[in-house]
Amino acid sequence: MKTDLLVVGGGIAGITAAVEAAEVGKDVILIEREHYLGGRVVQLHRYFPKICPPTCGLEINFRRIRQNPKITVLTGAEATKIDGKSGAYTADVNVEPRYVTEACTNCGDCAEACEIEVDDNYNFGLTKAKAIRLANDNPYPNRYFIDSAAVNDPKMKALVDICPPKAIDLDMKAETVSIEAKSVIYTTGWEPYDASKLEGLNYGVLPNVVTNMMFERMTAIAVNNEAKVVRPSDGASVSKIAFVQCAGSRDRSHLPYCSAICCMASLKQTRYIRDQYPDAEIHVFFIDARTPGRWEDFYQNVQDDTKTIIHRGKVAKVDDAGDGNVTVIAENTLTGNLEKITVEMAVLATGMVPSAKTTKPLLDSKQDEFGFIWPGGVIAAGVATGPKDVAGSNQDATAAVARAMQDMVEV
Amino acid sequence: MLPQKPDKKFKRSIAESGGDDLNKCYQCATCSAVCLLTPEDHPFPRKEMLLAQWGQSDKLVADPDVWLCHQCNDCTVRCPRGARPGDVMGAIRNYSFEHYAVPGFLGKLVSKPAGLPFLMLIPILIFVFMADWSQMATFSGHVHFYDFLQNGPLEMLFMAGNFIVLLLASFGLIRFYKGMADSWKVKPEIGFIKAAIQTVLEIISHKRFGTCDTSKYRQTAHFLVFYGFFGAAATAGLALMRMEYLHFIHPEHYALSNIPSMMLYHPIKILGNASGLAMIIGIIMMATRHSNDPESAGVSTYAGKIFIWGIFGVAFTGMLIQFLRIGGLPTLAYAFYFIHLVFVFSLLWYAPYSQFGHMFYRTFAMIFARSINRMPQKQ
Repeated sequence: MKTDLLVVGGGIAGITAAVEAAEVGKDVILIEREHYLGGRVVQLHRYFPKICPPTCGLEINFRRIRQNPKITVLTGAEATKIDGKSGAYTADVNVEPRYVTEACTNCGDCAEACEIEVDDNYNFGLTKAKAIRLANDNPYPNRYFIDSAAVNDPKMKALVDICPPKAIDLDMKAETVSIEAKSVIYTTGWEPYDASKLEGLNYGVLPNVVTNMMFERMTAIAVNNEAKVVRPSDGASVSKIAFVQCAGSRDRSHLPYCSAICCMASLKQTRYIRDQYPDAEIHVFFIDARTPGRWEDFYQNVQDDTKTIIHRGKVAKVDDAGDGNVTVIAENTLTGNLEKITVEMAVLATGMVPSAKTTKPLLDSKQDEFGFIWPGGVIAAGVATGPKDVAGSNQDATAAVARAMQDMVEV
Repeated sequence: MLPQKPDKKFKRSIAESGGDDLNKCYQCATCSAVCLLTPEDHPFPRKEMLLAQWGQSDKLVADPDVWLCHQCNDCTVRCPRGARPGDVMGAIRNYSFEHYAVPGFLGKLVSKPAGLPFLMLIPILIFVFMADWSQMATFSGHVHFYDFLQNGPLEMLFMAGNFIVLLLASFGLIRFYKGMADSWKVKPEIGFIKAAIQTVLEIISHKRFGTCDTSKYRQTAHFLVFYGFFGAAATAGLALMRMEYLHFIHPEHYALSNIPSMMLYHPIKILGNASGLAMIIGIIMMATRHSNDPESAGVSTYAGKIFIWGIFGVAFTGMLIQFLRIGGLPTLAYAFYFIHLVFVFSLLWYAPYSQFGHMFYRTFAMIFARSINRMPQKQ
């Protein structure tokens, strides 16, 4: 396949780059490792500062992709080799099978009949998922897929006959697609930092200590089912909750840098709680509240909430308080007192680790010691170049396309 | 009350004695939240980090919390910035020794490596003068320490010297206690005597030491060195008293120059050997953790090094001269006896100005804290 631009990574930055390039007449191939586009944004319940649902921003982009013949999307696709230089790149892309063809009509009979369950990484282990499913509530491509972990399960064969348009093909194989591209942009995004490494916070030990992304999924799942978010251990409703900022961030033993958006993300999550539980007591523990620019207004609104208590002091310990409750321990540096506050659930605001750290780019890249990609090597955009929010990722992607155009122009 | 103008000399001193990463602190308060010894009301060491960053030395030399810290370094290990609050607290204590020193010049001499030769010169000269160096001529034969250095002058020297040192130390300690009382304007809940008794009992049990997580070995190590030291001092005193007593009850039979040495199974000897061994094992425990696990042991400072070597020197030479005496090697035995006395003198008489002074300052701080009910947080 020949193209002007190859975009590696189908999150909001990659989608934006693809659309921006295509709408000035360039051919784009967008490849994404998962079976869906949308990356981390589609996993969010809402995003700040306007508390928009991800469907709002993604839907318009999916429409632009669908309607633009210049954009080719390959999901389940990961590049295995990229060679070449500016203006002439060649790439080998391995495309994993979905085991479901385009005949799929999204009727859902297969998922209803499916008894096989697999680990659900999309929901960070909070739930189990059906082996055949839609990727999320707003999937693009809008088609079922079968989890490769379960495709060889004998019960899978029964589902082939259940599908009315006979769209299930268990014999689908992985394909290698060869691509010639004039330019490449990396938009590989991020993974949440592993909270089990955080000493003293008891993540992974106490069930009601969750991460910010887990809390995002818990809220999204609950609201989708027209229910309120509850705590994991016993489904109790939330009347007292703590948000622990900088859990493993700005820390020489974990992530020495600041992930820029977790303060806003947690403040946003306090609004989730407030929406569902008007009387809940919310505690937020900061070292510093990082809400620059117009985010300051958002922070002011949270501060005006009389039942949300802001503590200036980092939570260093989360202890078991019995009955599923936890006690968070911090010094409030403004009052000068050690606080031991017992809550029903603690949400750890963990930071972002660039995916390019674990999966190095296949082209020469300038990466810092944290894995973020700097200018000077492969073109990159979004969180792949540094922690940022949705708006920042989109601006970065547009800028990257402008840079990539230099590779597409024949001198 | 206006804050003190930032004390630059203090800040330099802190940077030179272990607190050189002080400015990295961004006041997250992880240190205060993980410290197991801190009271819950105005915990330490975060506020000390802030006061130190701002050069508020007046407040810090009168802060009991600086001494409630037992240098376990849980805070240093957990600090996300590597600001090493445990080492900063240690540096503040080092500064306090110099601050409260009477006379001031001794405080300065003890705090700097350049001062060490002058300090050692004093005991060296005293003992060179007091000893009978002709005894060194015999390489092998009967060892009789009394011949090298007589009891009487030795006892007078140490008693007078200890008295003077305690007097000088008390000037600083009284200023320290008053300073604490003035800065913590809280009415004491229990009187000084009662607090002192409770504190001494707590120190005897070493209970507070066991609270810390990271450096639990310190409870054992300090226990050994602590009791080893007092045991050795008691041994020296008892040995001298035995000599005087025997001479007193049988002056013709027991001339002072002719008191028989104790057998190894003699209770005083057993006390001495057990004490020396305890000191050596304790110091080795402290020193090896020092090099194997640098962060949890705290940074190594000049003041810390001379203190540890001082105690080790006392214990090692003390044990050694016993073997040299048993082995009948007068030249070596007297030489090391001389070195032993130099070490003992330096340790005891420079105590108020060196890290050994912690035995005074920490005790007084704990007494004060107890009197205002400023106790470690409940677990």
